Amino acid sequence: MDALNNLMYGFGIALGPINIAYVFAGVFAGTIIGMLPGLGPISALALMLPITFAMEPSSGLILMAGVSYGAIFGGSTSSILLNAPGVAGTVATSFDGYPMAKQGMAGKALAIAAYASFIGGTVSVIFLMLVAPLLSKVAVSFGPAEYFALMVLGLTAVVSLSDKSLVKGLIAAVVGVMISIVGIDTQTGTERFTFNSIQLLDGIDFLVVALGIFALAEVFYMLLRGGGGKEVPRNVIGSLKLSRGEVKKIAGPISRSSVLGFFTGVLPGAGATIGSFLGYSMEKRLAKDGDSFGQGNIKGVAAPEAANNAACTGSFVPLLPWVCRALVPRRFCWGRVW
Amino acid sequence: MTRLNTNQWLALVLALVAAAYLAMAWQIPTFPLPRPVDSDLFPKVLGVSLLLLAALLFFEKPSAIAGADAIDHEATNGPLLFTPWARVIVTSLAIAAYAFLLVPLGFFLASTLLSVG
Repeated sequence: MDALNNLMYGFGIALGPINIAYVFAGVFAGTIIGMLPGLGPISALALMLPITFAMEPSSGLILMAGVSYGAIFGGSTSSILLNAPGVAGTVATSFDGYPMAKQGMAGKALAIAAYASFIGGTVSVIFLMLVAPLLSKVAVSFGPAEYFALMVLGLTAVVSLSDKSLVKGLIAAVVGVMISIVGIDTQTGTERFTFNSIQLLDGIDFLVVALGIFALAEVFYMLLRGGGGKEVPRNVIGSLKLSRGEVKKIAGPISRSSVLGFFTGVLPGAGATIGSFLGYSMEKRLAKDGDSFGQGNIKGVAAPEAANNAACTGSFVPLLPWVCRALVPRRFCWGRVW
Repeated sequence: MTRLNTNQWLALVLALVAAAYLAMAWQIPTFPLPRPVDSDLFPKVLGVSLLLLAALLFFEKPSAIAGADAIDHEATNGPLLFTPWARVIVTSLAIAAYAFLLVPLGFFLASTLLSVG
């Protein structure tokens, strides 16, 4: 009964007209910032920080939550339309979203991204209310060994996506890890592969690599093909409506990936990126038409989108215990979650 | 000797990269205190795995590159500067120049140069 009372109290605050306006403004601003390639939830939150200083703590939290959801969702738009992921968490969306856009089904892909994000977010909010106190203990107790296991799982899942050549997938994973160890070793403080450059001490950001590889490859491909992309129906968004068959097709992936994404998000540091890749590879394995993943399969858009928004909510689990202990440094906690 | 295929070229380049990487990994200084896993272990493991994978790739049969036939072959007959590969090289040079000029010239001038040039 106590939990129900608290829930009602929470709804009372969240449904106040001012807070609804805040969440709307936050999602709107976050979506626009997230759509710009290279600007993700962290930049969006950093931009909104000064505004929240004068606010009530709960309103500030509501605004920030809106911004972070919006930014994660907005990132899918540039993934689908430009093949240039706006956020690291939407890289997996571009695998099938961009091929769909090329086939003139950009509107459908955007609509699926919106539905999947909404359902993923909502499902995980329900989980958040039910199991957050229990899970926060598990999440905080995650040690180095568990993280290592999780990272190996994540990398294996990504390698399994490259079904044409396993060797090439493994090479990509090894080169990726090689890039990631540039900088100062967090354990010993030793510099690795920095070539005495101050800029490299901090390492190379994931989004910079992802953007360079995806966006530049696309630009070069268009140059090689010539004609400035005459085959890509640039201005054709297509219908936003989904048929009943399509809804039925994506219902399974969305619900599975929502749950998976939530539990991935609970682990500090794992978050939306790993969640979306795991969701994508899980659906690719489960689907009967798994071969068509990467060529514009609607499940390939639905799964990572549901997973990344669910992970976004899941990441509140390790965050909120800190917030409850001290409301003031919560603004610093946000940065740590991603 | 037969001509090397795409995979074999790629494997050779990767093997060179792995060798250079390993050479650098051996130069990572050891931490003054003894540690079970020092900073140089992980790079060494990665370098060796890349070397092994490059060897595997060398003997793998290349598959047709998706979209390779979509390359505009008509354009290759045009003037040298406008062939597809020349366009790719010019664009990469322009992007590199932009990255280097951004700090000394500032965003506005560098971006104007990139869009006009």
